[in-house]
Parts: sequence; C-alpha cells; structure tokens
Amino acid sequence: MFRSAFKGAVVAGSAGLLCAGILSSPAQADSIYKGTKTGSIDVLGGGHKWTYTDAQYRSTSMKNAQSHVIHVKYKGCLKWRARAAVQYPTGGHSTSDQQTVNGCNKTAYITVLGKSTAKVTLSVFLIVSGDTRSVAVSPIK
Amino acid sequence: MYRATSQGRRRPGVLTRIATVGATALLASSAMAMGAPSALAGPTGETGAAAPKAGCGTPVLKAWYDSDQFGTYLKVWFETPKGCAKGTSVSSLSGNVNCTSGPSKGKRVYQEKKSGKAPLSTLTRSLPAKSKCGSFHATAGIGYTLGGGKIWEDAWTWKWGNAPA
Repeated sequence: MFRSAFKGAVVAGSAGLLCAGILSSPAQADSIYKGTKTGSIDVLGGGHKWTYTDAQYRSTSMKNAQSHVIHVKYKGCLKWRARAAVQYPTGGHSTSDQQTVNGCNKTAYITVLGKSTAKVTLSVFLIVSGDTRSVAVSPIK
Repeated sequence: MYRATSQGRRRPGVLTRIATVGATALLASSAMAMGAPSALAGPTGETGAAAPKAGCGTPVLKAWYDSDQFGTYLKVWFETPKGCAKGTSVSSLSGNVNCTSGPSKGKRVYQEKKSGKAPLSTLTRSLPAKSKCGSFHATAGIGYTLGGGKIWEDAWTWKWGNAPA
C-alpha cells in the first residue's frame, strides 16, 4: 500500500499540525501529495489582496477524491471570512468549509474534500461591508 | 434499516450512498469532519452560537447540477442552517441571485421568500444556462421571529459549473 510522502508537503508553521490532523483521519490515511496552487483574491478591486495556497492531496482510499488544504492570508486589519466549496466526490452536491478571522495579518485555514476533477470556488467575504469576491482553483491532475 | 444498493459490496471508508437531496447534510458533515474549526459570524460580529434560542444563524444556499439527456441544469434554493432546531419560527427567509457575466449580466435571476418553521427552504428554481450567464452573485437574509428584528445575511459568488462559496 502506498504511503503518502506528505512530510515534505506540510505547508508551514501551525498549518503542519492541521495537515497532520487532516491526513490522519480515515478517508485521508493514504493520500498522494499532488502539489500546491497559489494565487490572490482582490476583493475590492483596489489592490487589497488576499493571498492563498491550496495544497492538494489525492486520496488512495476513496475513489475520485482530492482534498484541498487551503490557507488564506491578509496583511491588513479587518474582520473577514474565507470559504471554499467544491463538488463532492460522488457528484451533484457540494461541500464547503469556512473560517472567520478578525484582526491584523490573519490567516484562515479551511479544508474541503472534492471530486478530483472539480474546481474549488474560494471566496473572501468582508463581514462589515458584505463585499465578496471569489476565484476558481483548478485541481492538479 | 437495510437498503439494497446496486453498487455491490462496500469498500471500507467509501461512501456508496447515492447523493440525494435529503442526504446533503450527511455528505457535507462527513466531508467537513476533517475541516478546520470555523466560526460563522453575522454582519454585526456575533457568532451563530450567540443566538441559540432566538434563531440559528445565517441562511444556506444550495446549488445542484442536474443532468439529463438534454443537458445540465443548475438549480438553486435557500434553506435554514443545518442543525437548526425543528420548529424554530422563521419570520422571513429570502434569497436572490444576480447574473454577473455573460448576456444576462445585471439581471436578477432568482428571487424567493418564505416564512414558517424550520426546516424551511425556498422554492427550487433553475438558473440560466451557461451560455446566458457565466457567473452569479447570491445574497440571502433570514430573520427569526424571536430574533428581535436582526437579519442574518450571507453572500456567495461562483462561476457556472462550480460550487457557490
């Protein structure tokens, strides 16, 4: 049985604890690190950028399943929420995860398990103003 | 309860239930079992947990891509949040969706409202085809009878073909 080499793929700092927790759960016990997608979301169009990393793992125990371990970071001081949604491996419905953070230079950690061919929609929502913007993150084959 | 499946034997750790509308919560909760801790917050900064008796927090948007021999259809509806105590009185659950790109850009393509008791959902409607509308922006608000007039709001944006977030 192939054991994933995720040791080298742990993203950073406290995220390592998160990744270990994620990957020790039954559906993720065996997974292959596929790579990390990075990008930014410009919510207000004025250069206030949220940056993200999406570390992707293909499950070897569940068919057509790819998990996304996502970190979203913003250097400024705001209350905001990051949310990721993706079509579930068996199709049709979607699953999502979200986290709200408040303060300066904060990082949100969210994880979703999706169909390995499905794009993840990653959004940032500003709690006070209600402004929101999202991007589509492609799965790594 | 025994349910005959056409899938044959079950492999451990694999969900073999066919996804149905009613099974959404089960699938979502299984998928989210490994998710990072999350806190839902309303516009005024309160978390969903701060309003246990009066209400259940922000509304939920459901999008379903349905296929038949003629094509794929995007259907949406809004509902009370998962875990909302049955019978919780909802004074108003409203949701609307606007098209944000393509020939139908700027048009409101969904607007529904409902009142009643949880679990509550608005009418399911199809959104325009991909050729008419490439992306959407949805907003929803829910007010609970015992919520003192507070409206819990949420918003989603997504491209046709993807999940709303």
